[in-house]
Amino acid sequence: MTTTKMAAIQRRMEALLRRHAAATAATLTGLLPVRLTMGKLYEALVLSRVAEDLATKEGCTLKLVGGKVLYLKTKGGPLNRNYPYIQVYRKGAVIGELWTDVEFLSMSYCRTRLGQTPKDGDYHELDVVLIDPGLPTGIRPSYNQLTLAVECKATAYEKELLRSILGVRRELSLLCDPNPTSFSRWPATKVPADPSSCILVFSTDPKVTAYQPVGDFYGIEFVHEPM
Amino acid sequence: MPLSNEESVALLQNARMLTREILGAGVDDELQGEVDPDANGYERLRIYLEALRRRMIAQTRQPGQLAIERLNEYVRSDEGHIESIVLVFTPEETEQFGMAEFPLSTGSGDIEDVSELEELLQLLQHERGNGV
Repeated sequence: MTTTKMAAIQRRMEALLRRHAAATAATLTGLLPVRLTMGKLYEALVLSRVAEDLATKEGCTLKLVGGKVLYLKTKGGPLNRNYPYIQVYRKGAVIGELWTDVEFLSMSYCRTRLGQTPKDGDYHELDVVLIDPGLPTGIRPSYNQLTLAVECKATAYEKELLRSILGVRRELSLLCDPNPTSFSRWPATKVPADPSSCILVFSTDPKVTAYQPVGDFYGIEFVHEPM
Repeated sequence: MPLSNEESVALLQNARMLTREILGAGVDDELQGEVDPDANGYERLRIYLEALRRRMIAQTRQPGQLAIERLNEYVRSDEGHIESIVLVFTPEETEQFGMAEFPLSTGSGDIEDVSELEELLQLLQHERGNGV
């Protein structure tokens, strides 16, 4: 190889890397606010990770129902069966449904005011949920109809977010001795919660795992998932 | 003239220097971790560039695209695989953005850059085939 040819290859390498570095930043810009786009892309990424873990670690089969396109909403709400969702099977039987951006009815509401119109503080949005199968459209699942709750944060994981998820844990379950979950391996076989729902918190911030000792006590798993 | 061991080492050093400068030392360390230190210069260069190519493919795909690929792999549908992920707006946002929904999986088109790296690898392979 001649010196000229080597220099040409080096120039191509340099141009390629420089163009690539610029293009990566450019992919995040667009019509929408970056924060909104990033947050929802991260939710999609986490949903794909949850689907993978349910399939590979828990041995479930997953099937998309109601369409070919998956919708993520910018605001949570009740179940809406006009949108596609993911059915989760184990050994041929449906064990739950995976939905995004759904609000659940809190324990405090269900135990004291069920039947009354729920007020703002009586329901809370979750990014991804695994709920009992076959619940009717238009309702919010109640705290004891959730088996898995997932929160996604494509931001710095500040302490206020920890306090927020502790509030979600409280409105889903009471603290108790380790209690068997609906899962045989993943995400956990036992949690210190009754009902024994699992909570996963995904964040792009590596600092999120620093809260795991708190999570171990209350049954919350903190996962660092880069984007 | 074929690509010699010394030339391969020189190109590898150049590639590493560029990676550190543009993508960061951490990326170089990661790519270098895949290289067998006992291999000859050409083989180390090839493996390094191949690792760089894989990393660039991953980086130039948006998370939405990666998510769809992973969902397609693990979620089976009687009606077909997941085709895209769509962001649905609230009525207020619909008014603000002038549209009710937005696809999150739009391709970036940067993959072409990676094909250039593939060409580069082929060129090096060709040089090696001429005499090393």
